Amino acid sequence: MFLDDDLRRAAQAVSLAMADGLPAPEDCRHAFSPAFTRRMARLIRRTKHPVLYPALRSVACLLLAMLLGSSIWLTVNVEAREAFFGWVGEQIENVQHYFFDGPDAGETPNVRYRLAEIPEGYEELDTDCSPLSVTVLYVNHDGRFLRFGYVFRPTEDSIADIALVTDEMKKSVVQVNGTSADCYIDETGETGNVLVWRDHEKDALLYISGYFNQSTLIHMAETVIQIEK
Amino acid sequence: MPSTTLLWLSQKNSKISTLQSPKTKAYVVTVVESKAIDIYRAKRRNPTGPLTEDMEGIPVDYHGNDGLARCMAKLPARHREFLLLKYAYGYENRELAQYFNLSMDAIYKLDQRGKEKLRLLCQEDKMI
Repeated sequence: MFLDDDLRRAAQAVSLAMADGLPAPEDCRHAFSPAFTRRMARLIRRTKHPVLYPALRSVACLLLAMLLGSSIWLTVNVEAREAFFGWVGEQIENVQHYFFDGPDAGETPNVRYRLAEIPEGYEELDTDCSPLSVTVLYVNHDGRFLRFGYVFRPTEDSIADIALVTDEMKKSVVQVNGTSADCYIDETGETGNVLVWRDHEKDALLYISGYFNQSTLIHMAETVIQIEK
Repeated sequence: MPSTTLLWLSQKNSKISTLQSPKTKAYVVTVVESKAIDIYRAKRRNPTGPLTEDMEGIPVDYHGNDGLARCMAKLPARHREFLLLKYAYGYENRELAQYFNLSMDAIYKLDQRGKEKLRLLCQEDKMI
């Protein structure tokens, strides 16, 4: 019907005519979305490092294999699980749920915890106590709250857990007195931040929440003291 | 939409020999028109209406003496894009299949239908 050379010549002419029909560049304005800018930056970064990214992918695969292997080991080995489990955190949709995974405690420890250092301007407002948990509420003159609480390992006839709504919160693992702790930073600045950590000796789960940065939360956590009841 | 287009172009940069050239500009225009139609169809609430193949694209004012080019400029956007990508930019059929997200059989049919429409336009223009 048509010769390829004729089609080629016509196609080139038409494509140039299309381009010539565009408005002038100074009449065109476009702002790239942040998402597009990030995707392009990632594409450019990968192009500049043709060896690094495949290597990282290989390392990630190896780590995943190791993680799967250790998970299977923990599932089938009772002794390993008992040594590892205690207070466990589980994310269910937008809620981080902490509960004790293990046998019930025979009795509740005869101690209570207190914040040794209260931030300036805060006063104790209320204390809520139950056999297994305590929550102390502080407030400052601006109406901002500081909440300190703890819960002990559940006994046979009780339930003890903590639930955190983690919308818009970024979780990181930090250290409190050498022990791993979970820190939740509210990226909107509207609801405050939370630090959750464990006292393995007493099988207690503690938390502090308020409008404080991570380092302040950690400092307060590390100055918590135990008092005999 | 520019995001989608530029990501495609960055993956097919072997088709671009010189960054600043009329041919490169024309290539970008061709790809942008095609992607715009795809996005328009995807977002359109009423799924009925002209098939993608029959949708008119941007109007092309061709003022040259090439009768075949004059008729090609009148083709619906999809057929025009197909012929431009294949004959002006050297896309192979498998690349066209990936570009238009069609099977190889569909690409052959698109090729045939496009050339048939072009033949009809040339008849109307009294070229043949």
